[in-house]
Amino acid sequence: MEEKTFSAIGSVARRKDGISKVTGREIYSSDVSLPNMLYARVLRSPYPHAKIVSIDTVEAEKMGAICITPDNIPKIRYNERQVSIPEKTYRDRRVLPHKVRHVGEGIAAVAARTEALAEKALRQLVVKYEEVQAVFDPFDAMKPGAPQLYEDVLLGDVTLPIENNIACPREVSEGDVDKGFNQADLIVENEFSTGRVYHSQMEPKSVVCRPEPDGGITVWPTTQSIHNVRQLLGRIFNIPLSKINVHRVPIGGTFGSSIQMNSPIAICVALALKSGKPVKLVLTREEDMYDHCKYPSLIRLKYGVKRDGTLTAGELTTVVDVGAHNIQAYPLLGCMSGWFVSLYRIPHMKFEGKTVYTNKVPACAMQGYGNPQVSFAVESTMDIIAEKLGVDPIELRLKNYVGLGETFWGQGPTVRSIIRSCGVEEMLIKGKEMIGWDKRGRPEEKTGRFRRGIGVGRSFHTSGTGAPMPGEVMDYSTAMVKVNEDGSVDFSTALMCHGGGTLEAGAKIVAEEMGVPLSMVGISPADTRSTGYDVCTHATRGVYCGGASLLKAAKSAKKILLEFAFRLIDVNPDALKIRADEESGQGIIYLEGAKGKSITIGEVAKTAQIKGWGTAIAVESHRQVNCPPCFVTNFIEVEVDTETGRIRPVRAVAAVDAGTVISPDLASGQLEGGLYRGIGLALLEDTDYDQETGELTCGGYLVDNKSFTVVDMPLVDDISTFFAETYEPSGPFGAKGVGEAANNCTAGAVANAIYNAIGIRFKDAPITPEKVLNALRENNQGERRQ
Amino acid sequence: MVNTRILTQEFDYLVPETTRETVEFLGQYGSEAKIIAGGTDLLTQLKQEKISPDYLINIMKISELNHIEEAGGLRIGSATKLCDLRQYCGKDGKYAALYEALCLLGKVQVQNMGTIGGNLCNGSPAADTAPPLLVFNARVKLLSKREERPLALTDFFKGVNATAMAPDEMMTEIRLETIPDDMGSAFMKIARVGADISKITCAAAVERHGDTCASCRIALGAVAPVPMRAKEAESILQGNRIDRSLVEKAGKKVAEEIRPIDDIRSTAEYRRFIATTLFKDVFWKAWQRAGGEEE
Repeated sequence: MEEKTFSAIGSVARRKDGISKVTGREIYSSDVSLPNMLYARVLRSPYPHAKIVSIDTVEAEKMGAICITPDNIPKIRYNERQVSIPEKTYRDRRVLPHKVRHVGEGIAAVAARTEALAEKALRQLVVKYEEVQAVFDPFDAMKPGAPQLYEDVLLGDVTLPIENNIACPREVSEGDVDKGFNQADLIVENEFSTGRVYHSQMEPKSVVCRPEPDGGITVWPTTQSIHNVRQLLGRIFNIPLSKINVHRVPIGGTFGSSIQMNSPIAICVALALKSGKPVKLVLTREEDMYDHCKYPSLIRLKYGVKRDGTLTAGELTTVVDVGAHNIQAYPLLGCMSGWFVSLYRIPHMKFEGKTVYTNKVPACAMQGYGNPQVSFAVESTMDIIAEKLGVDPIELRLKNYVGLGETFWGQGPTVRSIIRSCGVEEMLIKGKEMIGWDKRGRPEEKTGRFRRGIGVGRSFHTSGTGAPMPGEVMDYSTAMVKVNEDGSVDFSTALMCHGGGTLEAGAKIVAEEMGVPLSMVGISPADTRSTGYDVCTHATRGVYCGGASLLKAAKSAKKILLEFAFRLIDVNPDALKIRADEESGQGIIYLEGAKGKSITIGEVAKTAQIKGWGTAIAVESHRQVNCPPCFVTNFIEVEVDTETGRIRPVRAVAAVDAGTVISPDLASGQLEGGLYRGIGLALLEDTDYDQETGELTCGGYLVDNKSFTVVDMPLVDDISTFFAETYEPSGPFGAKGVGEAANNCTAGAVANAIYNAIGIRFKDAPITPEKVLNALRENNQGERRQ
Repeated sequence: MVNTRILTQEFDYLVPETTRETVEFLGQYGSEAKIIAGGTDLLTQLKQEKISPDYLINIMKISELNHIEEAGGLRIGSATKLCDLRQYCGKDGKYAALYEALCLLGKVQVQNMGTIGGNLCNGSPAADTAPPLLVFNARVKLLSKREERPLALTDFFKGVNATAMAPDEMMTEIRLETIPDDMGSAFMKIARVGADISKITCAAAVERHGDTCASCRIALGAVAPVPMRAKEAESILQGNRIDRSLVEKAGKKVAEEIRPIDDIRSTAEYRRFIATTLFKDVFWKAWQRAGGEEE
């Protein structure tokens, strides 16, 4: 590996958006306020499954409200997520449907001078429903005679009949799985499940839309992809893209909930077009909870293994209850097969997945996109196998993990690349020392009311979805870098920051390549008119893919800059270097070892302006042709109160192999955030439904849909994070991703720690105190139960 | 769809500066009026349209309702903020059970806005301050245009979100008995997460003479329609030499006395099962404190 010394990369600096965020001066969608703006509210179905017979808007209109119903919006069927190629895009949604398929689905909307007035007008809408029998369980939904949510949907532009509510099936197999199982000395098969977790992002989905005099629209939405929002709005409302401008607005967290074009956006646009005035629509927390959730999982997992610990075959069967809409079920299944096959080497594999429609809130991607679910099953199973074989769980993992030089297809069967950087072993060995693995003891040795256990979990996420060959998902970014006349640098990109510091990382990449101090790099506001296409900030691709496009643009701008410098100091541009000089705040262009042969970037840029040579500016589109895994490992210690069943995470070591770490402080924060989210998946979070009414039992209220708080987490001093020392040859300055990886292995590590504490294996998350106490009471003989 | 952000209801907003003025309003408007103090419970109820008053009476400008003083026991003005009371009780261990309840009640924002009177008048079976106040034999002062009447807190709670307060009455003060030197107290709460409505809470106050429990009061929250005393468990301990088996016996009795239900926070079965353990934890802590033992 080449020895690298960096200046901006790897530094800890005050975030450029830090002050505006902590002082409340950042403008989020809900803060955008325009002259003559109206406020919108959406009428939502109280029924889980019903046809809309009629909607009477007369009374609401008498109050001065502008109303829209399914009868006066475009009749387009669309998929809100624009990441898959068209022929793999399942389209089942309309802006407002004639048939509702879950409680809380929007059926009409109003806009009025104030939000309270809009809310009052909403209540004057008279809706006639014709109720249809609903189905809430995916297995019931697949039975013959079950209520059907859809007769058909569109796959691309082709009508696809839907049978037995199966949104889409997907099978993937390699080798001969029967042969593989025949070669095994031991076969282990179990069922695992995880909850239907609400994203609980801080900012509920919001949007402001202003209709323009030329028939166009300007939009300020919560989104992870401004370009996809523009494209879809163009398609739905039949407006040329040149007349639609979507602004990037800071977002109050997403966890994946805004990968798709959020449902309120098109409703808000329809109201703005009808009223001819700007309209703001901000979901209430309760509406937001009825809008989206994580894909729950039900996984049957089978492994064949030889006595020496070598895996011979693996089979994963899953049924995913996607709720009322198919947002990204097909790629989800592809990814789940990829997460499964790329974690441990299995010469023979089979994956069989079905996604099923039910009358529940539609599920969408959430941090990890099926990976926390699969890793929970796989990592739990690794510990079960290790115990059966009598080997150390870490040894078993080291023997079977997919690593350096091997083919990796985490993002599914069409996204294959070779692993060029891998810190799996380093993280397992170092983490094991840090947590005190060898002293963790065995469950049967532990006595007393409070019992502690240590568990390990490992996983990965992909860095983006790029691949040597175009697959089923799109992936590229566009960036512009320009040198200003004082030597500072601006860059623009449609990349989004969800809070984790993606744009900050972008600034560091530009600063490093251009040789300017980080403080002299400015992040331009972005909108769809002034930026090139960027697929979406999702799939842990921000730094690895988006950052790579910035690096490419910076290289091109730098080339122009050095040509200008050549004219001034008469040194071959290829021989010139640039270094950041913090004192003068300038990048200094110089020839190594030659006194006098140096000049500041500012002087070059200013001279180029005065003499009319032009601006050092470049725009580049870039697709990564690799999809490297960012590996992650957690060691977690829990304490189980055997009298109340309460589980307290007391200590954790979290490590990531992110290649070169661009922002160590923010990457550590990601690891801690991932732990938090993963512990929630393991122990707490789920949304439950009333089987009669189809309502959320929490009513959509945060007060009864809990996330852990800081006091529920291990103390700050008891959480350690570290980075594997690797370098990804295809990444910008050797970097890979972190984001989603951070929470992928946590739930498995927690379940393994609980087993180590009390000798009981829990396979159905969330592992609540009620479940633990019941299991302990049934198990008062104290025998171990895998 | 009901929500907790948009307030559509219209009402007159009254801001009296004295209790006299307040009870005049209450006398006039009765059940058409609602008192608002910190608003942490009331505002969400208003937005959820669980209540729809024509008049909202803000009592936070009334200085006589905001006090904490020792005068033959503790006197607390009903509009005293939870954070102020927490700070007061944190000075020493005298009101340990109340202090612990206040520390665990909501988080900073709720403690900074919410009031002790509000926590009680809301009538929630899960009100965190109720069990400690019950074990300190608290009495409340209810004021109306008609009269001022003291009432034992045990008689104040009448059911889920129901209290003994008449529509024209307001709570002005909470009084605690003098705490004997040999009394120790403790409070514990089991909830899903920090800053949460309780699955179950328990408070105990014990007077300890050597190995003997001279008096004992036990109260629990979120396990019956009202915050409740566990009197049968108390009588097992009262006047007796304390040992593990007796405390175990009392704990079993606590589990029998409670009347928990299944709800979104937990199950009746779970609550009953952990009640014994929770009580024992609370009792031993209070017992240690009564004996001046190291914690």
